[in-house]
Amino acid sequence: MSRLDALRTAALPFVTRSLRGGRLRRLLSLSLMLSVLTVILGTWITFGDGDFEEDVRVAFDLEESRWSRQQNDYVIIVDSDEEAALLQAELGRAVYSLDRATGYYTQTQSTIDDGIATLRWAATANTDRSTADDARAAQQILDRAGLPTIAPDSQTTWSWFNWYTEEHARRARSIIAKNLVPTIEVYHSPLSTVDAVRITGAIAGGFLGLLLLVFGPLLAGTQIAQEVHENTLQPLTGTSLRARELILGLTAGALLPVAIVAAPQVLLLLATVAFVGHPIAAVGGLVTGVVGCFFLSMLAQLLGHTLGAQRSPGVLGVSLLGFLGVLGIIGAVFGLNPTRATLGVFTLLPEASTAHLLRSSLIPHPMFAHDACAAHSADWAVVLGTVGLGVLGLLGLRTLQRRIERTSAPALTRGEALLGAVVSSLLIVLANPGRVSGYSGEAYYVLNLALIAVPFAALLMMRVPVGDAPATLRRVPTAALLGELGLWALIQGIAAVALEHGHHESSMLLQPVAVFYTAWYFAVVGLLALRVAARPLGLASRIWVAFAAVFALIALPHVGRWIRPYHGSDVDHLFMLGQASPFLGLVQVILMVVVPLTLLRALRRPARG
Amino acid sequence: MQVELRDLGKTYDGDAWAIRGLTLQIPSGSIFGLIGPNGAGKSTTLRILATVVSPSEGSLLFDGAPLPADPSAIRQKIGFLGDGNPLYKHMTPAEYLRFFGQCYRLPARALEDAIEETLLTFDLAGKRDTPSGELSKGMRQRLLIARCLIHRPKLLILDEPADGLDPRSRSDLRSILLKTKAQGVTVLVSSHILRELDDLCDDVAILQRGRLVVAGRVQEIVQGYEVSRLVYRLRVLSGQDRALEILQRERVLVESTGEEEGLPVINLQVQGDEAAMADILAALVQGGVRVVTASRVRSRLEDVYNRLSDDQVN
Repeated sequence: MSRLDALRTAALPFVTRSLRGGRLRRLLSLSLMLSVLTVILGTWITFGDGDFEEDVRVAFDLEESRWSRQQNDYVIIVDSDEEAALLQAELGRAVYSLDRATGYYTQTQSTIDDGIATLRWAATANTDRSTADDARAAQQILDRAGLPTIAPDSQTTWSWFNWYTEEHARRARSIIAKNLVPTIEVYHSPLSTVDAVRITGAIAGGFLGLLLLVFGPLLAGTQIAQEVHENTLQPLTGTSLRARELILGLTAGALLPVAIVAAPQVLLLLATVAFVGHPIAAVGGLVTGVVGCFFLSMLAQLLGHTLGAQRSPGVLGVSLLGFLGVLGIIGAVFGLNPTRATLGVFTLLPEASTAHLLRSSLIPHPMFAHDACAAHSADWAVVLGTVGLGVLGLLGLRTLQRRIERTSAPALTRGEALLGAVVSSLLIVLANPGRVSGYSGEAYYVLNLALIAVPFAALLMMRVPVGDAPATLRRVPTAALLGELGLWALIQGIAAVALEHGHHESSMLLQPVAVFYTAWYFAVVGLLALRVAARPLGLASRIWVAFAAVFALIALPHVGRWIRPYHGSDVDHLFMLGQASPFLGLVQVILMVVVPLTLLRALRRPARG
Repeated sequence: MQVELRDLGKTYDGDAWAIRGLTLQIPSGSIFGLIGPNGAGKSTTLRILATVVSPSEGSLLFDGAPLPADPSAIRQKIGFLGDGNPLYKHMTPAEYLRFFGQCYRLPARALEDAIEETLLTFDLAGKRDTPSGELSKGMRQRLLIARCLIHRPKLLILDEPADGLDPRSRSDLRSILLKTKAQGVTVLVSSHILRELDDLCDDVAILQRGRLVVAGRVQEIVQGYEVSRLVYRLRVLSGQDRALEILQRERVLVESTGEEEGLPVINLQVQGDEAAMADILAALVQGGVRVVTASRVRSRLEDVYNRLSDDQVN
């Protein structure tokens, strides 16, 4: 049997289970409904005249904002014919009192006053050969209206104008062309059918991202949590399926409903992209989405497998939904509206890279049209992130495989864990490229230290030889594992310094107090990871572990303070709590000794009775 | 399938041994009972035999061949019901059997035939489309065992299969196991209800604290430990004093007397076989004692086990 056949037969029971009864029919109905909804939403967002639709179009740079159009084209945009007629009548009255309308101050009067101010600026501002005629025309209008040519009060009107700014010139020319009388328009969406196709495709991409990066991992994680919780996983391990096949089968079964619902969205996306978009970006978005789905599914399954025995699948499902949902929102924000400073996030959040590529396939962000360097950086971040998360996903698969086999060996070998640490370090440093030199450079470095603790702790937990031994009997090679963590931390430091290549302040990372606090921080993180992975947690120990985890963070401001260039040698900063009071300083010193010692003590194997 | 365990040991932490030095031969086509108190290592042994746990030392031979590095092929020949394995409550028996049949990579047509046949064999055909959560406990247990047999294994391993079953379901379980044995399947079963294994098993092994205490044919073990007594419970309608008077003259030891459902009860050990008990009953009836029931309450195997436990304590 070929490997592909083996995988196909391994997935069959789980796929059949997912589709048993009327499930396939229901999923197909849901899929159809979502497709119809996508088209309806696309049409609505494109042609709708409501505030929400308008805001969405403006947010995605599909149309100019109403305010900007009113300013630049010298129009008053209203929402109904009645309102337009009212303003038109008002406009007639206002034009007769151009110097200053009396009585109440209306929108038309406000617009005309702004127009007058603009003309005054335009008539008096510096001009060149191309704008001199426009300035003269502005002066003529003012003269015809009997308005004095004086510079407007900078406190109440535009305090700036120059003919070399595109928007200013456009506004002035619009006012001149309209002879100071604004036009009144009833608002209608300016988009066309082609735009409707584009927006429909983008919405399909959005649903696709939601299905791949939130619902897929959610189902995969919850399903395995349920199998563990109800002890139904154990009988499956006794069948002909190997552990790896079992995981892939479980994943396939969990993701199949998502795939069925997502399939028409893929077709919609590809069809619209073929018609009006950029197919390469769309395919790239699908690849990053699938790789992200794989990585997040493995992560969710690991969580489900680890916590399934202790927590109900419902609680885990809600927690996973919260976690994946928050990641999705953050990723979508960074992906849909990136800035040059946040492009690195594409390496770390598949939600961001997928959102970016799917948007780029249909509604490219204007920044990338004008900034080739940013586009290049984004491409690299996406590629590196996708490869990195793919590697981490494969390590997750390997971990799950060994956990399900319940071998007494660690879930990851030393080499695999090292690979995971290197990839995590690179992804985090690339996502958040801090500079030790310059403004707030140390904040970036400290943030990276905080972020890297999460993957390092997880990898270290996978290095604990758990097997199926009772927690109280587990033998933990604490010193060796902390040594491995030390190596990973060193690599992380090297990655940070390498990124600071050329900045002489990189040497500040080797400042002795900063090194001490960094080492203490990683030691506590490591001990916490080992404590949680290897020993049972009662209520008191849970509270202590949580406190220790929070207390470990005290190292970070110290590191940040001591790697700051020109920090001086103020001994008060050795123990920062001491700045508040000497007593708190003493408490800090004591806790910095007690916390690691208690964790270490808990890891010592209990004496056998 | 013949199974052989040679010096099998399992430790989870490199120090304490769940089982150690376990050497056993499980004859092909037999029903083999594994007996021992909680923590004796029964479940660990069964899980090693089911290849879901790797032994720390020793070897395991199936039909004389050592366990391959990839045990998935040998699992095709094993049906394993672990302790406390639940069903998928929303699956019907047919769906459940199909699911596991596919996990054993059975071809589609063969699988559908096997499902129909298994549902009939286990008397579940009438419930084929009922969600498992709505089945009675006995039916659920039958379905669990049916799942272990859907792929026609050569070795059936059951960990405490009678746990929590009512007498009727236990009786059904016995007949299922005997039927399975008749098909040439080797059955390995652990149970703490020893009086059921007594009559059911061809061979037994008794484990204590991870070590094998004794193993062999049931009759040979009973004889080897000189257990030739049977314990009975007599319920009499009247004449309890007369009964005790008669019993004093027989080769019996009255363990206790009491009352059950308003009737006097006498628990007694009979030295000898069942013929001796028949003679005693005849004497009681002739002596005017109105006996309602005479039921055996403890097996010989149980006596062996108790005696071994006493030795352990001593």
